Amino acid sequence: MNVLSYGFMRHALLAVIVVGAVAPLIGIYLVQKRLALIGDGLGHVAFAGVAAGLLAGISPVGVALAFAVVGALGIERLRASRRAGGDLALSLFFYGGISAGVVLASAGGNFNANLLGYLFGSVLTTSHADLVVVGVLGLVIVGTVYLLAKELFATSFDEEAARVSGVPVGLVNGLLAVLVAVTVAVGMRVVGLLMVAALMVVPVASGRLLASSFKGTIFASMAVGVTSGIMGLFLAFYLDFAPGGTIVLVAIAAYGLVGLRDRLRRRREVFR
Amino acid sequence: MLTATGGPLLELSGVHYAYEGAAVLQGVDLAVAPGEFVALVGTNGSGKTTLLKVALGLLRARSGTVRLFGDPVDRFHHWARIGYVPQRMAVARGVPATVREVVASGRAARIGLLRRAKAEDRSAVAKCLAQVGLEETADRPVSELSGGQQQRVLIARALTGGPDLVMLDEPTAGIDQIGQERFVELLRMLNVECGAAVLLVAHDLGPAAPLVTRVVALSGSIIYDGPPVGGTGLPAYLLPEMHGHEHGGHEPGERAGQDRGPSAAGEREGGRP
Repeated sequence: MNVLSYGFMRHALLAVIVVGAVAPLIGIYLVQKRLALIGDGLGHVAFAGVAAGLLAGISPVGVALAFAVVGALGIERLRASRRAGGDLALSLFFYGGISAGVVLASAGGNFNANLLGYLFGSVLTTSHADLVVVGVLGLVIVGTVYLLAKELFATSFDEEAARVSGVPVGLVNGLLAVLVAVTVAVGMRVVGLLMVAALMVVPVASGRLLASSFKGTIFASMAVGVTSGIMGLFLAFYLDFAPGGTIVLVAIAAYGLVGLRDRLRRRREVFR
Repeated sequence: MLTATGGPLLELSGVHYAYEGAAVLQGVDLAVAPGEFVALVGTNGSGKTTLLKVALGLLRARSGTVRLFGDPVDRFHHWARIGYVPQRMAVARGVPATVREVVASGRAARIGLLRRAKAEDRSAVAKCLAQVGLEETADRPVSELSGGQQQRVLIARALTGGPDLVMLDEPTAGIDQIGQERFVELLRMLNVECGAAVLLVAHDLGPAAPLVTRVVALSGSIIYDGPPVGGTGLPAYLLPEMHGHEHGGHEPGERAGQDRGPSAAGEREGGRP
């Protein structure tokens, strides 16, 4: 029997394709700026939003998005001011987020499977309405990156030189922060808040070994992200694993293969 | 629309800057006129990199004024007229980028927000690549190039806007002899053939000595400003002074060991905090 005859699998597949493409597209700029772990921290902050949303009885995804946007802009301000002890301030932010989430969830009596779905992903329960949200946010992310591609590249490659060449670096960094927050909100359904950062960064680790240009790395990373998402979803379905974790493990396995290929190729070059 | 011809391209007056409580610049006055080739020399901790960053608006002076093409630096908009060449390229551990991609990024602001590169932009980038002799490596990742080639990529990037004033921060540190000779030839073309003014920040005049029309020595404040003298470019009475600050204070963007040639290259790749 065909897997895709299940409606929930069709929904899940579409969601996974969008997130698999969009997360590495944003992650590439974070890797370039050496902020690979920011997505993880924002996931923590978004968790407080989910718990607050559940407590207040309004859309947990919407509140999480709002928390993540505010958190991302706050982090960007900290980073731009390069204040001493910046990483300590970041950790206060992140652990403040997750502990506030735990407290809010317990206060509302929301420590249940529903909450776990936000933490670890629940792609198989993606509804038609969820899919519309994921699709629209995904289009917003891709469209913004398309329109600002040259500014995003200039800024993430060399912020000072970009500023001196006249690029509005503050605006570009602020927009990137918002895009990271939106990606966290989109990815939360598929791989969960605790693993969304992995999908932003791990495919980029493969992509940078597969391409030699920035543009090439974007497409390679997106291809790896989408492929890992699809393979992980099917593996999880047949083996009855949790899809979120399976997708991330497939992406890591892909990196293992690509890294091995890269290493063998380098060795051949040395002996030539 | 801009400064009348003859006005200084860059003008600092009474500039003070302190970093974590320690005074780095103490009342610096400096003006660069069109067509000049100024070498700003000083030891580690003399404040020369800080001065350059203040001049570019990357750091804000605590007091004093900074003007670019007659406009206060925080209200300056004609950034295409400035070319900035940083000390080195941040390539380690990053995402790959080709020579052409990096050079083209210098033109992003000139193309404008939400606009895409047109044929004329692509040909301007190709011209800059040709000027620095990197047409053939245009599609290779910058991480595969030598230090000297990477430096030329950064110069080409600074040229894409068609600048009237080029500022370079210790561009020859860690570059081999041949690389340095090519670099000096490029500076000559920029200054003599294209007529751009050059402000070269360096530990000493080095291979660029024949091009320099004016030497400015910095040690917290300006201790010499005049034509180059002798082989070092500086009057003999200043030489002990210039070597007495080797273990001076730190300034942002200039870390210990940065001036000491290629052997220190490995330590530098950690990036800024």
